[in-house]
Amino acid sequence: MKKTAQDFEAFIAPYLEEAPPLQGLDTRIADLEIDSLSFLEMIQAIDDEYGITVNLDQITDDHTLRQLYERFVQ
Amino acid sequence: MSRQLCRTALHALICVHFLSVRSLSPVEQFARVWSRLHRSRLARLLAAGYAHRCQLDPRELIMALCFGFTLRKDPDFTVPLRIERMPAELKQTSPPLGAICISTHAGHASAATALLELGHPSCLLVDAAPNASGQALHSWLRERHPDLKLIPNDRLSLARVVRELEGGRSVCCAVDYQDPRRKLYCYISPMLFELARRTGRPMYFGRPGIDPAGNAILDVEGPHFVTDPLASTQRFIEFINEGRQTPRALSIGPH
Repeated sequence: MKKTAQDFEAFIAPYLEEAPPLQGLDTRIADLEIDSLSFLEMIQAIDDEYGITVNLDQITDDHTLRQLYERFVQ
Repeated sequence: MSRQLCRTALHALICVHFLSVRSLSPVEQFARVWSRLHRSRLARLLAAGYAHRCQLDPRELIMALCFGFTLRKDPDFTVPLRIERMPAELKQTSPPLGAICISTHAGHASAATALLELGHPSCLLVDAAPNASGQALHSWLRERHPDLKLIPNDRLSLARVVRELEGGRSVCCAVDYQDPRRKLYCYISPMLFELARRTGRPMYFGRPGIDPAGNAILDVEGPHFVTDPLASTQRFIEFINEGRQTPRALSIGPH
């Protein structure tokens, strides 16, 4: 399974395509221009793709997508 | 009479009544002041002219203000909660249900604490950046109900809600939100209705109220299994307004 940051960024891109994050993986979750339903879909897809369960008690929307990647996927 | 004048005059009236019974305990003060003011034409007139962002009716507003006054004297004070109706499914504590219970502001916290008292592990969706009174409410809830999990309402909130539902916790939430221009809670978000449709979880509607004895009332209806989120959102608005003398101006929000 491909687990590089670039792969992760490519994997989540379809969920963010309506408003691509300007700073890529360094965009804060709070700054993503998606609603919480779309974010839910993205998290569920990450869980399925990487065989993990993102522990949502360990992140806030102040974290960046990169921190989400480093903490749970890498 | 201007809204600001009504607001100032109502606060002054309540203050005077509390001063007149200051030798009593806070619980007795609340009971005495409430029993006088909820029948007072002047108090109701002032409350009617006091635009409130949650669209409380005059008696509800008087109750909320009396509660606030009493809470400042006794941080442990609570208004007794009377459950008017509670569906049988929510009285079963095992296995955990993982239900979604929605209400409007002023009712969602009551729903969460009522579920806790029935033995349900529960969560409450709360403002991520609460104002001073919201912060005070959150602290009060944490102290009185340490088992109640508070979920900040932010970009991650629905993902968190799904996790909690999967873990067997019930989630309570106020689905009314403010029109930023009018500063009025006049929109109902269809988002949780859509989540209920996607997850197939039962949804319960909670309606807050008060009775002449000074009790808070909670009327819970359900379960609703959502197939059409917009139709269910409209049904919720009708449920909230059933039996109200002055219906709240609520409509389905844009998000």
